[in-house]
Amino acid sequence: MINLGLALALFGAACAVVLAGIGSAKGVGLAGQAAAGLLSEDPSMFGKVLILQLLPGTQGLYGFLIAILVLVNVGVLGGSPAALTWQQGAYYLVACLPIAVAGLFSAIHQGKVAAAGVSLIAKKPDQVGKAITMASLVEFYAILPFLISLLAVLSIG
Amino acid sequence: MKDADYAYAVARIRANERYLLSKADVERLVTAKTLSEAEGVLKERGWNFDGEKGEIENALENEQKKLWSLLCESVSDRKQLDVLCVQNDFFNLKAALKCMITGKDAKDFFAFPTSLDLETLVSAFRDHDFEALPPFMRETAKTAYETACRTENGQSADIIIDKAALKLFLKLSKKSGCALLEEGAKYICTCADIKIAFRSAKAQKGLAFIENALSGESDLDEKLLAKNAAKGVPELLGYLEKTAYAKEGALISKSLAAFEKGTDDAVTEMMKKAKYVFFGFEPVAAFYYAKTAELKTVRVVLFAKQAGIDEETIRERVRTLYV
Repeated sequence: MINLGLALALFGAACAVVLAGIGSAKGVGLAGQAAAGLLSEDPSMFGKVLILQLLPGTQGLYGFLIAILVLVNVGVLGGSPAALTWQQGAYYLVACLPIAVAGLFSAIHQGKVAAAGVSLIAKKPDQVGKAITMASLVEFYAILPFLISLLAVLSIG
Repeated sequence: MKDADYAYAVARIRANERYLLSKADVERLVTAKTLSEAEGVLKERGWNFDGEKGEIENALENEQKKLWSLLCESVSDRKQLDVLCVQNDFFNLKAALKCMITGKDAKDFFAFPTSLDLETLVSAFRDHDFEALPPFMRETAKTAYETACRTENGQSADIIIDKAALKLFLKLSKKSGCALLEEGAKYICTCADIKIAFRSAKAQKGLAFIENALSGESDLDEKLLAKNAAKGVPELLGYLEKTAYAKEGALISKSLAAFEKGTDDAVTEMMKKAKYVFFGFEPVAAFYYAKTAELKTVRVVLFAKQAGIDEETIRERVRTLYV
């Protein structure tokens, strides 16, 4: 029997993985479209554009990690779900929100920067380092909420 | 279409911008001692001179085809490119009408790229079946044909077609949602009206004729432009001097060739803003205009080399480059 506390915790885990996943899918998709455009002209650039396409995918991974951690903490993965109070459940939900929301938006924006970076190296192949650096800067704003979500979830456990 | 949907197109276009001729390439073309030396420069840059026409025409046609197939492959819906070939479509309409009257083969005069099925266009005039034409030019073709038959004067038909072309060009550019293209279209329409006004003033046409000939889509006050053109060339140039198109007025007073080069250069300068745009139709449109300006430059240089024209004269005709 799922009580309200457990339901809230699972909802939090779902938000972390789904929202961050949507953001990553959009970001990787956008960078992938740009990469395909460049590769249709110059297939030798595959290695360079692959890094740029991968970068917006990390938010989905962060969301997935937080969700796994929540599932472990509440005992769902162990097969014996804990009886959480609604306050504990709400705590888990709120702990998941930073990576869920920031993951969603940062991945989309990182995808845009990565796609623009692909266009940059399409014209100037020697600028690959700058293109990756610019896309990586957005990553910082995915790492911060990930760390907050991580610390918050761990502190409950 | 959302701007992000152009990510594929923009990356492809950027990769191809590397193959546009640079200033140094054009300088090498201009200073080439012979035509074959100039052709050698282009061959180094990947130009292909194979084909059934003369070498120069082959190279230009091959590059034109390459450009169009690149743009068609890059965008998800070919209809988005209609705005780029609408002027050629109407030029071809004019060519088909004139060739029907003169009995010449229209195929020799058609401009590319075009969204029209040219066989249908020729047969539409031959069989007087204007319903076979696309809706956007059906009425114009019919009216132009009837006017040409009634007046036995190609000029009236030309005016009808040119006006329709400019109006549709501006309408499609607005519909494209690309601010840069809209700005360019407005400028092109204004310059077209300046040219009409100047030619009318030189030919001492009356006010009614000029008012009818102007597209009405320009940035300038149509009534004032027509009124001054009807008074004469000095009045027209005096009027233009007081507007934002003073530079264009000065150019047209020199020669039509200088005016056309000046307007092409201004459009290229405008399109350079697309270099800093990473999502949207802007880079696609800009690449089209950049390549078109490049083709015009190569045409001028190669034919001038063939005719043995000196470097300085060629340089005056060389268009501003996008890269």
